[in-house]
Amino acid sequence: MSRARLDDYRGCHCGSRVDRYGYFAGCSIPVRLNSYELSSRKVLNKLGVELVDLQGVSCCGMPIERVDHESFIFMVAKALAEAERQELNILTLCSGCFGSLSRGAAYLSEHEEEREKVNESLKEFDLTYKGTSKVRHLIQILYRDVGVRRIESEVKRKLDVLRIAAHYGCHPLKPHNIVEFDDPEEPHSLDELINATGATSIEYMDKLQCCGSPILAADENLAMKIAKSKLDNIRTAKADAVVTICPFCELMFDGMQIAISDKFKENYGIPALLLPQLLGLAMDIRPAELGLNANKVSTERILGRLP
Amino acid sequence: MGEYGKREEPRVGVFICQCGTNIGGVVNCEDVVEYARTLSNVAHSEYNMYTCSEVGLSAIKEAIKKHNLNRVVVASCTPRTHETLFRRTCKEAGLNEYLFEFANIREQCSWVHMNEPEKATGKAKDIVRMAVARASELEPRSEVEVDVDRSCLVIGGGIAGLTAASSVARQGFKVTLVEKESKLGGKLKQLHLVYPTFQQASEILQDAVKSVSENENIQLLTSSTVEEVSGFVGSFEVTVRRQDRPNELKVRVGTIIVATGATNYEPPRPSYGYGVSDRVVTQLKLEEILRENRLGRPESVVMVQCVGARKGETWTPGFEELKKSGLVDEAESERSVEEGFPYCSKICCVNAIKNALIIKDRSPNTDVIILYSDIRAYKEYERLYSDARKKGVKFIRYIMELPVEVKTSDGGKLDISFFNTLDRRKMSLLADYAVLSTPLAPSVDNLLLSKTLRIPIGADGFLLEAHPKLGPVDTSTQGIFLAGTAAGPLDLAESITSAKAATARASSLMTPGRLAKEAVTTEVNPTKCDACGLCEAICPFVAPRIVTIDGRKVSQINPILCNGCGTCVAACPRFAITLYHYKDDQIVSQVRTAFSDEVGDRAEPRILMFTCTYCSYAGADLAGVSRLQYPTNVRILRLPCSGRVDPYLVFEAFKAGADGVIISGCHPGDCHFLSGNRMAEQRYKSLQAALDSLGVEKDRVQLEWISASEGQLFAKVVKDMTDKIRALGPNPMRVVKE
Amino acid sequence: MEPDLDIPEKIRPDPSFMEEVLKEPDGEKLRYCFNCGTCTASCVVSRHTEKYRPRMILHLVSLGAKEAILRSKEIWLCAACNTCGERCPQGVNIADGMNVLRRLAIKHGYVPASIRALVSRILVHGRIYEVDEFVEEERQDLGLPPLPSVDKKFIEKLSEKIHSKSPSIVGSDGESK
Repeated sequence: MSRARLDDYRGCHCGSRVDRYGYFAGCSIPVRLNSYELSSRKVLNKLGVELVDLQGVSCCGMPIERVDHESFIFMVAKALAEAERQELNILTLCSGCFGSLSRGAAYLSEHEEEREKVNESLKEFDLTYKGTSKVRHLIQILYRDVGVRRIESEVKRKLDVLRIAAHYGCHPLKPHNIVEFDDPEEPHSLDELINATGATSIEYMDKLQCCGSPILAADENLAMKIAKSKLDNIRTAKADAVVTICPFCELMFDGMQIAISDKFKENYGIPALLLPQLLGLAMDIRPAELGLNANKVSTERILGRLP
Repeated sequence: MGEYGKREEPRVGVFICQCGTNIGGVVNCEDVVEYARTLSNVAHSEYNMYTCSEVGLSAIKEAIKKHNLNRVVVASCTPRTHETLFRRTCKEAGLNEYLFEFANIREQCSWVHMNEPEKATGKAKDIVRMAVARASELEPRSEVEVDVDRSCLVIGGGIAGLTAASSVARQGFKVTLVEKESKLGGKLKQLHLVYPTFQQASEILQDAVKSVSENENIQLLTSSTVEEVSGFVGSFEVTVRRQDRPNELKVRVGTIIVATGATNYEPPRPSYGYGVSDRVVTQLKLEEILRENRLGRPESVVMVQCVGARKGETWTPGFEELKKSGLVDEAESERSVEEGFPYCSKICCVNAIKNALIIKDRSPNTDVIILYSDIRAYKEYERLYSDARKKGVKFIRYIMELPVEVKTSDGGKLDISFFNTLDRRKMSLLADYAVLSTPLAPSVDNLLLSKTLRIPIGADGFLLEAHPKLGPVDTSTQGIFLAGTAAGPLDLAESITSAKAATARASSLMTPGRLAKEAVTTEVNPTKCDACGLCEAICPFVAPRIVTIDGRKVSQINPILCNGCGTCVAACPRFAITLYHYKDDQIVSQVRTAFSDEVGDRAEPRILMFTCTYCSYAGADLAGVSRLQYPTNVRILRLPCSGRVDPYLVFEAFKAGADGVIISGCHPGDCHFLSGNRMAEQRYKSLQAALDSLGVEKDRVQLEWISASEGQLFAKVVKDMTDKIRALGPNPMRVVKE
Repeated sequence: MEPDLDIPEKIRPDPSFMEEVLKEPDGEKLRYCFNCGTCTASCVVSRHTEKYRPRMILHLVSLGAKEAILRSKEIWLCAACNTCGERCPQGVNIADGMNVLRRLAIKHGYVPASIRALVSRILVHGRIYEVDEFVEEERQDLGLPPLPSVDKKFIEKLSEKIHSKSPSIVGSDGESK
């Protein structure tokens, strides 16, 4: 089924530019988690990746996918067509946007009729969707285009005192036949990136389980129960922090950690960092410039131990 | 020297084969040759490097001429390789081939005692001595031939019978086709479209009928039944009764093909709602409805599989767990034993899928749901299953221990309830039609047919084939073959195939026009026989018959039908039956010479083993081929069947000095002669009781089942028995020579 | 709040619901489900609540228990993590399947309040959350570039589409609540 080996994809650039991307901001990060964008820009800048702000885009369409499919496709096509107009591939920091745009693009590539229909609707915006712009997630750029070696070479401050629980989340890995990135059952990209900083990416129970945030609206208790089980496992494994690559996961492990601690009478105190924040620390970028002061769960536990 | 001379003085030639180092490397052949010379009746003895080579065979022929030999013993490998070769060699030298005896000193000696050359040589001497003794008792035999009439009776005019009839007739043989109904076609008349091609059954039927009606070689008798069959293979005398004629018709045929088909099982009313609602039908009835396009466009059709089949199967994993968890009503599960057959009818799964596809084709909006226990869509029929799924046919698994219930409900729907195993709960479907997939069941005529033709019925009621692999269309009666569903559930293609197989088998007898029988047959001594009927009762080949000769009832055995197993010989209370080439004195001669006090250690156990040629002897050979090593204490006798072992032979063995006896045959159910091993088992039980009274420990006789593939088992049996007998000590009956 | 899924004991097979499902985008694959349960076994939500069983939901879809499914709460519990789709031996993406059922639920008038609220925010602000002046200021302070302005014309067009395809997304007072 879907047990691919990542090694097949190393160095695959698909003939497009790897140092310049159209940045897709999405909805959540600008309003609730600017630290993610801030730290990403800082790190990508150091690594030589340029972000161009896309125009004419707002929501990726994920919330509409469960309401009406045609409307969903319309939103995806608009976003992708805007990127095509600017001759850019899309880079997004949000797994939700990544999943939505990838799935939408895959659907459009397989259904010619729908493609023609949506292009009809896009005419009045002077846009045509051709399917030439690729959709990429931050971790793909860091792992494939920049590469672990490069990152290692940028490390000025080794984080080898840290034990990190990597949280991949869901959409950067699945469904594999659309995303075609890392092995969904045994991924290693995020672990390798974390290890590049000198920290140790540890194993822990149910590492690949979803954070639960997608069902916060439908059943908050259930969502918190799911996140709690992850926090329990991370704590049992004695991790110093959890590292995420998605705003929803981050909000679940950071802000919601406090609510979960209250609700279940626990005291986790596990800092939740975004990957670029961790990378930034290793590159000796100041914590304030990585938005670490905005993290809800105190990061003193780790900052204090760094060299 | 005449081939058929009176019992003359035996002049035995003994030829020891070195077989390179296979034998010569362990057994001292020179010694054995020397020893052979000392035996009475041995006129010549020599050894060769490879007796089966041109050189070796010439040596035998020369020796026969030179030394005026009238018996030949070759001590080499196993008779199962070269018996035919050496027999032919003897024949070429003018000697009757049944005057030849084989001594197995390779597979059953040199190969299995590689580390004990002295003992192996001693054993080889014993084996040669046994062979010489037996050879001295052998008599010349000749084969019997009967004529086979080039005509065939086909009983049954369904697709199998029609196929067989036209296939046989096309080869130039005369065929009489008897069909009880007024129209030909059997079940095929009731079918609509057949899988996997979805052709019209009526088309296929038309072609089949045409090929029969147009063939001049076929005499077609409809509305007729077979009343009586007498005679035997090659010359059956058949009496046919015709419904519209007062006189019977008598026909003589060489072979018979039975293609009487099967019936469609119907559940007893009112179970499954059958007979209560006219919308509960069998699949066969559905064929009619579909053919006449009377189904319409119902909202839903539910098919129920395994109705009246696979009864008594209670193996669903987790069923016990379900009962304990309370998800299943304890009381309900008790009433699960209902009427029906224990076997799987094979064709109902694919047939249901086929009908489901037809319904979906005609009425795509009709929901078709198949309630199944297992879906058995074998061969390329898996494709039909995938097609059905793609077209939206639904499959829900129910549990066999809790049969489906069909009731009528308000609103005109049928309430079909069952335990859904995937949901682990009871549920109901409210549907318009319930189609019951029932098995093909044995025809009610089978019982009568089996008596008329003297062929057995299997445990499930279908006519029984001789052997599922070695004789799938044969019956235990020579010359009578099975075709079609008379022997069990088959689909259309398989029925046709089996009919052609039966045709081939029948033709193999009719084409040469004669049948030759191996000379190992039995004969009854009429003066000793008192017509007790035991032989007739136990022979599975129907060879003995009680007849009246000169006003006196005696048993007479048909040498053509006799298979030479010797079970009747051992059964006969008057010792009235002789099995040529395995006569009592021929066997006893080996028993008495198996052990000699000159050879071997008195403290060593001496074990005699009676083996059947098809299984146990072959198993012993396999042990040899595999070079499994075992103790040298066993001397093996080769018999056609374990059923030949008369208890008195066992007593003779003990009298002759054996410390232990093993009777070994085929595994139950696998006997080459069908029931010989069962007889052996029964005799073994009474044997043990008798041994008690003789003061011989019961454990000294063992009954073993060893098949041709069980070399390891053979070696183990020998080892275990040797140990056991060693512990018991010497036989109390042994006459010890001081 | 939506009621829990009530599994009916007596089901009148209704192929029209399955037909409807099959016609929805991403719906055709659902016919391949043979009820093995791998999805339920892999599901993160199933692990933490007894109520949610994707296999059962698909099973009931094939049998035609339309009302029971579309009005239930369970179809909104899928976290869309896609583990089921990854592992399904028949290549069915059950998470997509849940979206199919959700879309049909909305089309048939079963709209959870949170969805209504979410959609209305998108159609008003162009995003899930409004980017107000506080957000702009924060971004400025951090040195981040301003966000692209929302394409109002596009959002209008989008609103038309959604309202015509799923009219019940609008609240009873005509306003998106």
